Amino acid sequence: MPRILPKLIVLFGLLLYVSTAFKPYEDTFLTTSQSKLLQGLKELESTTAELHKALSERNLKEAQRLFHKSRRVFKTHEFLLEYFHHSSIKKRVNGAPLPQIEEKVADLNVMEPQGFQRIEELIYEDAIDWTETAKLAKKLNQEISAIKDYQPRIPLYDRHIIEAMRFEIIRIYTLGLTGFENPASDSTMREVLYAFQSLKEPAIHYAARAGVPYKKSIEKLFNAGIKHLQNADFETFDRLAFLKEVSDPIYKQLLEIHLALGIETFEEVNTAPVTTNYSATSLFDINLLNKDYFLQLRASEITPAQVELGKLLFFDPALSYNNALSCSSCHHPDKAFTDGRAKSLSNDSEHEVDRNAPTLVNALFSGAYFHDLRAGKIEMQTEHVMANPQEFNVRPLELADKLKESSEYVALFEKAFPGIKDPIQPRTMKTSLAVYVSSLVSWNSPFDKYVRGESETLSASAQSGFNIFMGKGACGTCHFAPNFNGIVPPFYDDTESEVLGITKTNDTLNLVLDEDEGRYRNGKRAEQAEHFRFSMKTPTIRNIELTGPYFHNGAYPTLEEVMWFYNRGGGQGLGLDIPNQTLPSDQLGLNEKEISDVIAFMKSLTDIDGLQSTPENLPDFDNDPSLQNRKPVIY
Amino acid sequence: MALIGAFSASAQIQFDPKIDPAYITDVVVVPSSPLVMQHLFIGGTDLVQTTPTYGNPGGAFPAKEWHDFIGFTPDESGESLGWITVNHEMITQDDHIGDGGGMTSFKITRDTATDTLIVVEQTLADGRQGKFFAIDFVNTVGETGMNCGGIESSFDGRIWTAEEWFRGSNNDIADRDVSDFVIGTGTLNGQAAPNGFPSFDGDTIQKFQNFNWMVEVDPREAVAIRKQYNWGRLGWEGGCILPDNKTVFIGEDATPGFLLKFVADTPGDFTEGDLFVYKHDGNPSKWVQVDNNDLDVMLNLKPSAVAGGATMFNRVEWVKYSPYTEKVYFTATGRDNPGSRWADEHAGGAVHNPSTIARAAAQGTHPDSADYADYYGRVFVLDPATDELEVFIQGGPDVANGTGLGSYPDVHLSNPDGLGLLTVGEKSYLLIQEDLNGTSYGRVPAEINNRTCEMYIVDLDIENPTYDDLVRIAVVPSGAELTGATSTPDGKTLLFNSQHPSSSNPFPYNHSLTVALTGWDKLAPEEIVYVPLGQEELENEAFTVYPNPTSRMMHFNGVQDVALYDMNGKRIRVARQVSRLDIIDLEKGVYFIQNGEGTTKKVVIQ
Repeated sequence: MPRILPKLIVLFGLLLYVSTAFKPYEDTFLTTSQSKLLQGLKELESTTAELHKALSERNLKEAQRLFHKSRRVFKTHEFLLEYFHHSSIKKRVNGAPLPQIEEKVADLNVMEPQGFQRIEELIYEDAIDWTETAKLAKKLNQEISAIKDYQPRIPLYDRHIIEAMRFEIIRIYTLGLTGFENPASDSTMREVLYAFQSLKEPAIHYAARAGVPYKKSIEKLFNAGIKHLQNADFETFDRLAFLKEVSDPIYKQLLEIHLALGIETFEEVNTAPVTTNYSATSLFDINLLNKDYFLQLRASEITPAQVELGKLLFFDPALSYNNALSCSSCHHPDKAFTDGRAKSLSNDSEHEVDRNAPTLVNALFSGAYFHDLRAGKIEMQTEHVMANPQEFNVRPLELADKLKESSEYVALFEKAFPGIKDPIQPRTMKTSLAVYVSSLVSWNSPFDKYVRGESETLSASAQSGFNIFMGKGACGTCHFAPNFNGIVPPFYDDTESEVLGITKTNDTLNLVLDEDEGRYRNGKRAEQAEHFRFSMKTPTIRNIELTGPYFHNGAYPTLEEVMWFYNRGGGQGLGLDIPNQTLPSDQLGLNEKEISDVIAFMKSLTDIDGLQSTPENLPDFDNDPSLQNRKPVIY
Repeated sequence: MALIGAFSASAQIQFDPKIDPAYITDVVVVPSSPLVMQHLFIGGTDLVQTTPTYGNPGGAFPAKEWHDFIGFTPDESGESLGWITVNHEMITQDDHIGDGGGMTSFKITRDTATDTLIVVEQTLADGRQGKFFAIDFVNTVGETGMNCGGIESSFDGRIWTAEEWFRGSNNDIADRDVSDFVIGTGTLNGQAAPNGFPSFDGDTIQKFQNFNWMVEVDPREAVAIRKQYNWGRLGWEGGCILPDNKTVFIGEDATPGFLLKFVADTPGDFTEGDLFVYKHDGNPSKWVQVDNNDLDVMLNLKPSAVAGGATMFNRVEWVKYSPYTEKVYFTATGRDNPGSRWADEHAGGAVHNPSTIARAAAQGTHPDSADYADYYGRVFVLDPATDELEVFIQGGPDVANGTGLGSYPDVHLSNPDGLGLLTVGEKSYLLIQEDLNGTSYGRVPAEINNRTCEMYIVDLDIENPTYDDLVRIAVVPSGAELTGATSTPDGKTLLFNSQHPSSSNPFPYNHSLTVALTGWDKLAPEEIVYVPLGQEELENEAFTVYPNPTSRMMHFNGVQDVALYDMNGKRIRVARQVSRLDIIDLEKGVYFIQNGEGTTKKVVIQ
């Protein structure tokens, strides 16, 4: 008998699993959601077909009506369409009305702007190009048909719907409310309401499944949100209150519901790192953007020894061929890692390099580096600095040989890269520097803390400034939250650059376009397209208080002057001829108070705490007297 | 009953986030992979030996990156296994390796104990010593660029590299020297090319016109031999040479892309012979001859192809000849909406291939129309004996093709690009590598925006393969492209590249890598290509897990929902409506797997 007992226990165990694990949620919600989505796509297919017809018949009033009808249907289903068909939507349905480069082809093919936003621009122009607009409506209709045909092949699961809602909350906040999508008409607030309302029913469904308290709470939040948005005015809408009272709490609660229901998350289905951490609970969560995605190393693999080594290298002038420059020569910690100069000094201490030194704080969170976006990885950034004759002017292999002359450096590299034979190599130098730079992260500015409810104080002026920045000022349509740079929410996998028409100097009586062609001349054959001429990366505005003078050429010493430039519509608004300017050239119409509010908001984004530590000494070089007694370069 | 059916279809199995694994006794063992993986050659890190270039002395410099084609040249002497050549698909300025792209060559032997590969030290005729050598294009053929595909002769392993990205002016090239080029000379220091090109030596062309040729290289001495001016100038990608050592098939990566054939007068001498472009509806011959004695025609081959009524393809990528089936396989990788790209050529006389017309008809449109979509691409097969062209496997899941519910990653093949061959014993396999053009319409899981490219193997004995016959054998880090698949003639080692990976992959995956996978000869066919039992039979069984240690996949009896738990019972992965689960990234150790009916098994990954 005793011998049989363990077997019985095993059997019991197995039975136990059979009885508890099989618990499908018995309702028709997923089927209904799929059929609603298909119904929506059918409706969109027919409204866009009618739009095409109206444009072919040159019936403007009817075309505008059908355009807005189509937008309403699109916005109602946007959260699922964007989730499942992001690249189609971006390229052909609802992308920015700008030319795009066709990817992965063996020639340079520039695709002209298409989709809703381009059509909207055209149907609100004084002289309408009917043929072109009708052609675009036809294209839009064809893409909708293709999506409609494909959608039934995508099995819909609970996690899809919850995840799609969470991305939509960020999309609504960062792209919808900023007016990003409605270049010509005044339908922004109406469209935001359609998108927001479409989430209410699915959110309540899942909340109810998670329990009565969740249901009550979600219902309350959606009702509050709808109240905020109904009859809201684009210019006066209180975006800050909406963030704190509606959008962030919904974002957080949907995650809680997701986890409470035991439904698998994105991270359990896909193993490759993606741009955002699903566990983030706020748009301004410290962990919203995923370092693993942006850096070559997984954050978990980075050791303190690597960061410390990177820091030493960063401040060490031995990295330049004549021992004159270190990274810190142009990136001073107290200025958020800029140098206060229009353009940095070169290694001869006389001439200037070509461009303004950008901040390194939160620089990691980008898909491309340098003002002209020429480096695709943060590690590659260092290569360019080394190769530049005006900067380090040193070959990585030569530099590695030089550092090997220091037994102290050898020991530090061995400690940072255990298991790698002969560890002073170009790649370990680059990795160390990249790891240090990627440690320069700031998400604890007064603004962040206020938004996250960690502090009660944010000046009235900064609060108003944020609302203008994200609304009337249209700043947030390029400087996307939360890093306020060019990575596009909510997937943050696309890095934008803009043509602003930046002038050579701030001499307002004698305005001349700066000659720097930026992205057009970044050495990438695939980006040598006319629409990238003079295009520059959209930098973060975090710590902007410390990073002047401004723009790629440092031509504008103060934030007031920068605001003046934007308020006038950039270079083209100031009368220069820049046919491909991406900044709208009309005046923003911000008054002095509004401008000073925006500046107050930008100044509430300052946070360099914890990033100020500098090495006291540098490793000794055993035999080279010229390198003895050198000090970390600290200004 | 119908109602219950509808309910159960909408219901979703909920897997507990945590289970108590204490009592689970049913064990599935996944043996360690029988294949040994080696990183042979790392771009940007391994040093290549260069010749004196642009007045700079030769030396050792970090190799270029963006690995693409791999060539293998057997060592007939038997002293070593042979030479590997790797393309660098880039254009960049380099004082030592030379402006433009390039190619690296190295020699390998096999470790007698483990069968793994060893890169050996060599001393070349020009005095260079080391393991890796930059092939000298600057002093021989006047630089190179965007070296993507190439040719590995099935006769003797002679190697050509393809200069893909079509240049229209000197602005398009990264070269600093843009002076006119005289055929038969090098650049800058004017060193004469070893062979020149008999019929065109001394002719002057513009610098950009010296690109977009097939270029023969000598892997043994790491020098370029000649640009194949008599094969014409197009955005070449892949090619193959038949065992007659006379017949060459080459394909162009463009929309439209053309397939060409060169037939040498004398076996092994590719400087003299006739050039043809493929025309599937040609009568009596499907090959239309092009005048390859006229340099002007060669410099701008496309108008002759169009005027000759050539058959158009949507981006021809790799071309491979299988001695096993005696057929030529080539990929047409696809391009989302090609209509505007080939309408003019169609009007000018070029013709659409029948598969394009059939696809367009299924979509209710015409190939020249803006709404004709070609998202997934395909692999073609051409019989050189009859010149008959067929689709070997169509990419998809494809709405137009009417295939069933697309559940990634079970059923898909997107944008096939590279092709390779592997022969193990009596069996021969085709390797198909993806290079995704986009992420829409099921090319990646619906909500994923990163590209992840995969390599599949398919048994060449299967007459009309479908997706179910594709076995995934490699997946590269996110953002990377899988390229260059080829194998050693002994069937032991598969070679491939992981190209330009994105930033988020740990070292060495953040560089372009040449990878060797050794041990295929020790595998039975069923270990290479797992053949599941009939689906019906499987679905009646209790939950069964069949691990394939080679592909690092766990196959199940029928399509179902599964959850994987770690050794502590914490749920770490959920997959829905799948017949297999990828475990390639899992560490060795104990896991648990549960299906939708609540049956749980212990999985030991070795």
